[in-house]
Amino acid sequence: MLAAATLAVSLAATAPVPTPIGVGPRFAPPPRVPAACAHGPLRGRYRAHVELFALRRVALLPPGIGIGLPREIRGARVVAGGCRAPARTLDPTGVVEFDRAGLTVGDLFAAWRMPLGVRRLLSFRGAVSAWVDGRRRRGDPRSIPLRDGAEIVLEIGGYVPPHSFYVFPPRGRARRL
Amino acid sequence: MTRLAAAALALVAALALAAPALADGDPASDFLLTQKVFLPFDDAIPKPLQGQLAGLVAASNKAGYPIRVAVIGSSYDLGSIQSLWKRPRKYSQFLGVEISFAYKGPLLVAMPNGFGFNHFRQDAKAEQALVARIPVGRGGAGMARSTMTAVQRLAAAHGVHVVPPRAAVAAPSRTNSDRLHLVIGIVVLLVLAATARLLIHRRRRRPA
Repeated sequence: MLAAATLAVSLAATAPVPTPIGVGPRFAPPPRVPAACAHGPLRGRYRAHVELFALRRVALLPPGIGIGLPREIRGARVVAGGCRAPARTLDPTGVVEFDRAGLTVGDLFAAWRMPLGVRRLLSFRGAVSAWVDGRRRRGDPRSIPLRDGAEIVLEIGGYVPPHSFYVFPPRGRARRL
Repeated sequence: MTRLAAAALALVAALALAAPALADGDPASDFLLTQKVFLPFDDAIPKPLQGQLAGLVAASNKAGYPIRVAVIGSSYDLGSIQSLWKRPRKYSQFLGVEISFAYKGPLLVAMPNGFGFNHFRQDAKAEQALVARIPVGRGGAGMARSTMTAVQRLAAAHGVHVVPPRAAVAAPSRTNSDRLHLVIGIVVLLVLAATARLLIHRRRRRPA
């Protein structure tokens, strides 16, 4: 019976359950022009993956967070911009590009100019829960460091089992922070 | 009996504790909200074929058979949903639910080992059987060609006949290397001209 339980657990653990993307503009806020912006390559030296869930639905990080106007978009990817913030997104996958240590999730939301706090995520209100690499992280979500290869999940209004990893497409060599 | 009950309880508890991974962790779902085609990140598909595939899908949508296509060339294209790598049918169902708020129509997933087809909350057995018979070509180009075949056959099965647009022949672009060669050529010509002028000048000054 124990073997059956183990098998059931392993099967359940490997069968992903899809979470629909939320309906309406609250779940897909557009990118805004960042307040702090400098010239430089758009692709960052490091990458983290950020996922947002509200009311048990996916909320999207749009391409172009932290990219100044004018933005050149090919397909769903931003390929050029007027300037760049320290943390930014180039496509709609939730991959955040950045260049140095010491940045936080708060810096990403500041570049997006969208609210984030202990009880606020985008336009949603309530307790915000956070996970980094599948481990619960308590405290102010703005203080979560952006670390190369990190999988960061923020949730509000219900629990969605968080991913513990994200497999980034390979590109060049980057030193891990 | 007590042992059986305890074991059953253990099973229930184990299932409750098991935390299956949930989306959104796959890039294709984010792209297909606004795009009709998701292509692999590694650019394994040659650009002309990318254009042809996108053109064919656009033509199919325009001609009356709406379809969205995800070409998953490597496990990197699945982000956090690695357990669905080389399970195109399962992934097509998964993806169909994820994007269902924005799109509920036919959805084709191509992976190196086969195709998956999903039509949200519709019976898709016939289409799945149709694409299951199409072998997937090797490499990015092979995958792209097989995917175009799959799109054409699916559309044809619904009375829509489409052909891929002819591959655009890219005009040779002037690269930095070309420009460098041009500059070097001009400099060499100038040096030659100056040398020739100097030689002629010296010859004229030489007493006869």
